[in-house]
Amino acid sequence: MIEAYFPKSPEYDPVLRYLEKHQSHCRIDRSRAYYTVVTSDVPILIHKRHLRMRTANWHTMFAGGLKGKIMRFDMDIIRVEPEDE
Amino acid sequence: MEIESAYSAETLAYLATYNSTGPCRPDKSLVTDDRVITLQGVHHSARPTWKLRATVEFYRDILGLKLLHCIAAKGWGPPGHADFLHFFFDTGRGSTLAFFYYLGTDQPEWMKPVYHYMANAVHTAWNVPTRAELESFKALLESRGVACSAFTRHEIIESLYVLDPNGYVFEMTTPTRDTTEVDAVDGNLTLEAVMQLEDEAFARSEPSASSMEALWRRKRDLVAASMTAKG
Repeated sequence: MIEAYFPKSPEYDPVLRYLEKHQSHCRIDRSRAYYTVVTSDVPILIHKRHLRMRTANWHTMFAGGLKGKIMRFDMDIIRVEPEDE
Repeated sequence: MEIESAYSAETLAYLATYNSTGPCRPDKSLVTDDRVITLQGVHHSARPTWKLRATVEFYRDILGLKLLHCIAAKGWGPPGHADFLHFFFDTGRGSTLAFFYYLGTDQPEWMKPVYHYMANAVHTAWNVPTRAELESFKALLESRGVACSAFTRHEIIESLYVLDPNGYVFEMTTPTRDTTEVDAVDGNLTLEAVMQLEDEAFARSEPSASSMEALWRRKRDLVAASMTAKG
């Protein structure tokens, strides 16, 4: 499973909107304090061109915490695959 | 003429101890109450210069920072300490940018600015309240022949950089938002994750925590644990 924690800060709103719209397999839990928790059983793919996100924040995408294998992380695409349990 | 050292015997003894033992090794087990150090902003941020005229003309005449004070001191410090100027430019709200100018000295090689991102980590960012002001400062400085960086958008600040005549980075920055409790909680968890990884690296005789992937993974564990603890 992939488990990503996004601090409840406005910088992460674009990626959460993106995941809701383009990665509908993601489960998004906004009920927790401080962090929005995103889980997925299949890979997550994020295209930077679809985000209205500062480049600086792209580089801190998973600074809230990530359980998952980063298979690609460049200026265009981030791809994360589930980590073996 | 002999001039008595401005350093007390106690201060000189402290400096001798510091020089023999190195930096502070904190022991947080000694924290037994909730007293804290409360600071009220910057008084001065200081660096040395060996280009007095260029420095004064850059900060006072081109940037327009008012000179507030200039100390001219003879005989200060331990034996061998050069006589010096220590002068202060107004950077707003009680803060100043200060310089030392050591008379009769050459700039040591080890004090010459190194153009490397690690060396640039030592800097001060001066607060500019709005983006509009930042833009107007860039236009003003460029009209006066000062090369400015592009605007750099960091996570929650936006910055403009210039190099002063000494080669020091002078950063002006505008916050894009205030920091929140979320930032503080998250920041402490990030540091805890890296400190744990650093401890583990040191135990393996490695120089530092090594990968962002490992950090983000450890951070997940800490965040998840904190959520579980809160129920």
